[in-house]
Amino acid sequence: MVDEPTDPVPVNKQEASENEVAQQQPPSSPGDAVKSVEPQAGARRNFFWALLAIVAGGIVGIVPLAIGLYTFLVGPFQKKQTPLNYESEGDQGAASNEYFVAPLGAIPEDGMPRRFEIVADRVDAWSFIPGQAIGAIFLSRQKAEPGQSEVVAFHATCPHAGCTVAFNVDTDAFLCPCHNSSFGKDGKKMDLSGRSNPSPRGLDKLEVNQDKLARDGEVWVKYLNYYTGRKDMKPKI
Amino acid sequence: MKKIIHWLVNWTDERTGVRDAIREGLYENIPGGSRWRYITGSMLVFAFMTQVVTGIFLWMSYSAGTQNAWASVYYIQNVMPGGWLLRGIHHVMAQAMVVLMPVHMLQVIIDKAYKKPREINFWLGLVLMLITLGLGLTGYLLPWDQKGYWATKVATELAALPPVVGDEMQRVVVGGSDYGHHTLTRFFALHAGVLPALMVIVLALHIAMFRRHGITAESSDKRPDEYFWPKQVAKDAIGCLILLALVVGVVVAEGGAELGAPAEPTEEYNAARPEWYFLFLFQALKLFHSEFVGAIVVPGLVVTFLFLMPVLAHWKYGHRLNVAFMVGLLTATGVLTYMALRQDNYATWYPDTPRSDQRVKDSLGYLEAKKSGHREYERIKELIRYKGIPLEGPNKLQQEDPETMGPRIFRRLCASCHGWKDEQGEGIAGPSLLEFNPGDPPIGAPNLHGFASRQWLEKLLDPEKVASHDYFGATRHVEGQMVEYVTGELPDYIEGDQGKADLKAVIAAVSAEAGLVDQVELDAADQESGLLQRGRELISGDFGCNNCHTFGEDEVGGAPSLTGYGSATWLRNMISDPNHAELYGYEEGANDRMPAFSQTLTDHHIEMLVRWLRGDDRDLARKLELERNAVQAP
Repeated sequence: MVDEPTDPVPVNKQEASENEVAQQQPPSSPGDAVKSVEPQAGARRNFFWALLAIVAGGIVGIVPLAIGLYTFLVGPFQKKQTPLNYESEGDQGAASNEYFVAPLGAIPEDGMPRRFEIVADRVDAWSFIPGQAIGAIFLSRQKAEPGQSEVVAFHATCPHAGCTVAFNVDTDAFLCPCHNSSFGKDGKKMDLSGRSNPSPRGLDKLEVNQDKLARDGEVWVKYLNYYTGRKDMKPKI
Repeated sequence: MKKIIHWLVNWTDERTGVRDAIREGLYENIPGGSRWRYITGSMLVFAFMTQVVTGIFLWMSYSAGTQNAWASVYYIQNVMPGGWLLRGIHHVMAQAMVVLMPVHMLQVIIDKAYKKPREINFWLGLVLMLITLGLGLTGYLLPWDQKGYWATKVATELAALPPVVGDEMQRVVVGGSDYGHHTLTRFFALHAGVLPALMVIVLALHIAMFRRHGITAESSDKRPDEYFWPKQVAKDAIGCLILLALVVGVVVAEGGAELGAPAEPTEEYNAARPEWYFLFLFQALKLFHSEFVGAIVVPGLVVTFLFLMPVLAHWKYGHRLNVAFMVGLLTATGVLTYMALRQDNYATWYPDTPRSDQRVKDSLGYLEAKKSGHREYERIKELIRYKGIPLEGPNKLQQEDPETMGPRIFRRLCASCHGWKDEQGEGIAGPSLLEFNPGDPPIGAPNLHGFASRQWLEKLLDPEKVASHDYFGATRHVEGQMVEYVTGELPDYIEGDQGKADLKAVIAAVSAEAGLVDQVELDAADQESGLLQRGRELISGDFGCNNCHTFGEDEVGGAPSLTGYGSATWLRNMISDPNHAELYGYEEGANDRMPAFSQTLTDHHIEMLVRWLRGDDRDLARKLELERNAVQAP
């Protein structure tokens, strides 16, 4: 800010008169004063100072904000870094998104869906948490036709707004506790009387690794989260 | 288009009076015209606004709490794109504010702008200064690194000094009896909430009052008046631009603000210093024999004097006294700061001073602590790259890392006898042997850098070196059979080429017993070439090591065993209890002065020492590679 001057400084006469010209007409409005570029040296000088003030002021105003915004906006799109010691721990891990869930025997034979947790190494900003439950899925058996998987896997997240569905034995359906979406055992949308069904799509079906299922009797599932509230399955990567 | 804008401006103006507001702001009259020296106030406002903006964005990634604080700052500094720049600007701009404040104050005083009727505004300015210093103090702790932790600890210890309420005050500031989560949450709330809010309020009053009094003082100036806009605004803006450029320049040149190793309450940091602008207070504390006088009374009197300045100015010579006081105060601050820096850096500033000088010793202690702090930070960066930061926090990584814990334990317990330094003398100095003469009571022990490696054994079996300070020179063993053997029998034996080749084989065979990570390839190659086999035969044969040392099947027990010499087990035994049957247990009093540490150290700490001495974890990339190879091999 500006404070009181005391010590006199020798003044250039010409400069002084120029300034006086500029100052002699107290502007009726600031806008006029800035805009009126009259063919006078004083006004031109004022214009020069005004330009300087706007440019320099603009830069100092924007730079800190821009740097801050950059860190705020770009960070969330950065790829997460898994610590090197954990990077290639077999197939388990973020690289393939394929996780061991359960042995085949853990799934009921009668076709009833059972809930399982996906356990994985998790990178959460600065923390690294190995072996943490990162989500849930439902596994069930189905009568497999040739070329079809014996095990089906559904994401436990409702595709409508991201609540977690539960299997309800009475209605033989997956019910969402939030907005009444209902899904059949096959994951498809289902209309139950008295329940409107706002979900834009059926439950998200996850890929089961057929080789490992046939060879080792182990269920490995490619687990991804999908954007909710839309017709197509778009993975969040 | 023009019409729309015009209409919009009119519409807004009718309802808000924005035109008048702008006119009032910009067409302030400046008697005597714009001047460069009026820019300091605007620069301070700009600096504060920058702190607000960068601070809010830092806040979006910062997490207060003892496990998370350091980790989140580490994340900002090393992972978040542009985070280092953001944090750097916040850090350096804070310092710029502290530098600008006295400049602004000096200008105000010299221009007599603190006199009637501006006393209250001057006091508001002083309050702003104290708030700024408070922001600096609270901000220093937030990264929860060693330097912030220990420096702030000193500051909060001083909070207990005032009589009557001191103890309680400290408890309130710290959020309990010890440093912990609440210290951080409180400091953070003060730093990001309370103090900035106070700052905004007082700053608004400061500016409003400044506007009310107008810019004029009794002006003998012959220059014509000018409006604030545009010349003074431009000058202010250019000042701010230069400030920003300087700050960004410093940040880029330094690669961002420094972050130390994570705070460790049990690991004192001997290089803890407050931020440099508090160094004068730090130094002043050393001058007074009572902390109460140094930290409370004297600063309190100085601040009181500052507050009294406008009153004193009524007196005939008051103004001159005030100017003299300010100049004196700034000079004293400068001198004290210089003294503090000089004491810390004495060894580098005056390299010709003998090392026995206490000032050099103190300075070296500081510099060494700083260096090892830096090393610990570089190390934990590496640990994080390989292992990530666990939920328990970064200390967990350090506590399980031999390269961090090894030197810490060694410094505390081993370095009173042993050194651990490479050929250049870098590392951990053992006891000072400058004044040690042969025949004196033993005060040293072998230098353990590279223990049991081929290079280490080469020197042990070197007739010239075995009795040096790096080996048995300062121990009782200098008169023992080993030194006698190496200086007596061995030279004749290894005179020829064959003898030298034999010695090499013996060294390789003994060293291979250690199975050092650094020598995996070497050991394999020597095994392949038959060198190890030859060495083993010589140990029991021509060299006759097994006359005293147990080796393989020859159990002798007249000296420490060579079986598994330098291996993890061997070292663990040696540290836990040197009088172990296979070590110095063969005879009462055979052990020189090596204590049994099984009582002093936990198994985990001994393990850390062992792995550090062997260099097992030094190179994490190599360790990972060896582990993966080992998994694949069988």
